[in-house]
Parts: sequence; C-alpha cells; structure tokens
Amino acid sequence: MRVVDMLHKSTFGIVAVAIIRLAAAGASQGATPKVDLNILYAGTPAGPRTADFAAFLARHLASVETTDLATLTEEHASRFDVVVLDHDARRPPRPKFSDGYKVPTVTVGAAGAHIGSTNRLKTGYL
Amino acid sequence: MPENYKRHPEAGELPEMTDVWLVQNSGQKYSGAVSMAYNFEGGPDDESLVVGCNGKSYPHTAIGRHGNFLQWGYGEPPAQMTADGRKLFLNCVCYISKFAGRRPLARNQAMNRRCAFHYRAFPTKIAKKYKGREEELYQLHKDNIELLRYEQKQLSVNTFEFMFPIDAELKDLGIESNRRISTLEQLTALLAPNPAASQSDLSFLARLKANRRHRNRAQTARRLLTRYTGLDFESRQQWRQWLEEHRGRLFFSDFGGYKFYVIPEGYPAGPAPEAAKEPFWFPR
Repeated sequence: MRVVDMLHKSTFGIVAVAIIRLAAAGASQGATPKVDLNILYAGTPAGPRTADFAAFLARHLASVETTDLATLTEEHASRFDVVVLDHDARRPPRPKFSDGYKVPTVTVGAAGAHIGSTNRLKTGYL
Repeated sequence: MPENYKRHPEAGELPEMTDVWLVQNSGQKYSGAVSMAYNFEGGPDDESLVVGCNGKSYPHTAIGRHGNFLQWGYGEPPAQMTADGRKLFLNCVCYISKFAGRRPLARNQAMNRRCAFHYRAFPTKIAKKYKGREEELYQLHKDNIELLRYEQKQLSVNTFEFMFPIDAELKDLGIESNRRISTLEQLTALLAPNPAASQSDLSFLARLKANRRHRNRAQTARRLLTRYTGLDFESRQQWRQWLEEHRGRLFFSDFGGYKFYVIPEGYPAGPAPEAAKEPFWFPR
C-alpha cells in the first residue's frame, strides 16, 4: 500500500496547534528546547537513512541511540521512552513482540506496516 | 480525486477536487503504506489520526495508533519530509510517549463488517439468490449491518475466502444487534427458567411444546453468549454476575473477532462502548 499526503480536516486543528506551539517555542528562544525523551531508533545499521533519522531526532529530543532492527530485543527497548522501528530493505525484518510489550513505539513506512501485520495490529499493512 | 478511488463505493463521499496537506517530497507518486481504515473502531485502544492519499482507496489511515504502537505510514526519511511533515513526525513521537503501558487489547482475528461492502463479500448462497439484483443484496446487508459476522475459510496455504453472513440465530431470537451491551442482557434473560413450566392452566402438550421451545432458545442464547464473549459459564447466575461486574468496562471489536472484551483495571476506558465514533465511512 502506498501513501503520499493528506491531513484529515477533523484532526488538522489539533495537529496545527501542536505545530504552532513547537514553532513558537523555537522562535521565542532562538534554539528550540529539546523534549525530555530518550529514543531508541532501530533500523538499518550504519545506513544513510539511519543517520538521517538519528540526526533529526537528536536535534529535538534529549537522547537518541541507534540499533539494528533485526536484533532488537524487548529488554533493550524497555530502557527507552520511545522506540522507532524503521527499515529500507525490500524485505525488512519483522520483529514479533510479546503480548506484554508496552513500550511506546513508532513504526515507520511500509516496514512499519509489515511489523503491524506480524503483530496483528490495527496498524498493519493494507 | 485519484482514479483508483473511483473503483470503490467510498468515493461517492468525495468531491472531485479536495485540499491536501503535503508531508513529504518523495519524487514518486506514493511512498509508504496505509492501514485499513475500518480496523479503527473508536474503541479504548485505537485511533485513526490522519487519512493518507494512497494507491488503493479512500479513507485509509496514514497515521494511526493501536495501543502503544503508532504507525507513521509515510515512507521518506526526514531529509525528504516537508518542514511541517518533520514537525508532525516529532509530534507523533511525543504523542505516543504518553501511551506507555497501554498495550493493544484486541488483536487481529477478523475484518470489520464494513469490509463486506468494500469488498462486496456476501455469502455465496445469498449472492446467488440475488443474482442480477446486486443493489437489493447490498441493501439487505446494509439493513442488517448490526447483525453481520465474519467467516473465513482456508482454501490453500496462502489463500482464504471470507464473507460476512447475517447472524440468523440472533435475528430469530428477536435481537437487533450483536455488538451492544443490551445484546448480552437479552441473551442472559433467555437463560431464565421457563415460566410456562409452572402454568397449570396449560395442557400437558402445550406445556411440553413451550418447554421445548424455551429450552431450544436457551441453548441458542448460551451458544451466542459464548460466541460473542469467548466465555462459557454453566449457569444464568454466573452470566449475570459477570455482566454486572464488567458492564461498565466492556467494548466490542469486529477486528478482535466479533467479541466483547473487558477493559483491564487501570486502562483508560475511552468513549462509551455504544457511543464510540464510527470510522469515516458508512455504506450508503
């Protein structure tokens, strides 16, 4: 399944307010204050995509660690506030989490949707 | 409107032209993935946050949450996102951080009943009966949407057949829906002792017939209670007790197998089960 762009009008108000606040905080203080979240980015080891996400997240969030999605463990994930799961291979790894896995997790793109399917989530691949 | 949208009934809701908001500059027509819109049922563990323009149909989900998982469907890294797209991604990271401990409650076991209309997946026997009268077939299922179930038959290792029959047993009992709390109450009431058994003014044969009818209805009711809860209590009292104990924390999920689930203690209940917001599209 492929997607480009659309923002549903019923959610735009909420998101727009959040974006404006984030932008206003940066404008008033010069440097945007970092959000106090410790992030684990699990993706393609040492790839340019990983570097891009890591650099971007590190500019805005307290700390970012990267790891290989293929070898990610729940124990490692549990040490962070948010885990980002991403990959750019044609057949990306699809980690299976236990029913008790409770770490806030962002899954990205087609790889993320496949992870959703593997874990029988509503966010799975259409 | 994308041409691919026009092949599906949901396109009837859309104008020919609409505003869109750009999240990424991918250099391709599409980059990423969407999730089935109808998976998101407005229950305590899910949210469809953003609809994504995609290569299949409207109104599938580009950004959605299930429990502690948030799917960002856009495929490009930050360097290819727009400035607002990057801010939206950060918002999503911050947003999901609030859901520590909120695991998904209902895992995938079935397709939402709206898929019956999206895929026109009606039972073969009924479809044959209405051959040439497809609009009547569609209307029949729309009129009975509250009673639709899901059945799946494995045809081979990688293929299966699915359809959405109307629950005739519930209908025969005079119950209008399979997903309201009142359904459980009505079914539990049918487990009560037969009042005709003690009516001395009835003839023996009349009492026998009434008893048999009541017994059949009670057996059906018990089977339906198990079908829609996954539980199997011996007595009416046990069913009543369970219902009283959990009434305020029940929600129904098509996606989770057309069953009622109990929201665990400490897990935010979300909207009232029968007031949950319907997904974006409803068959017309």
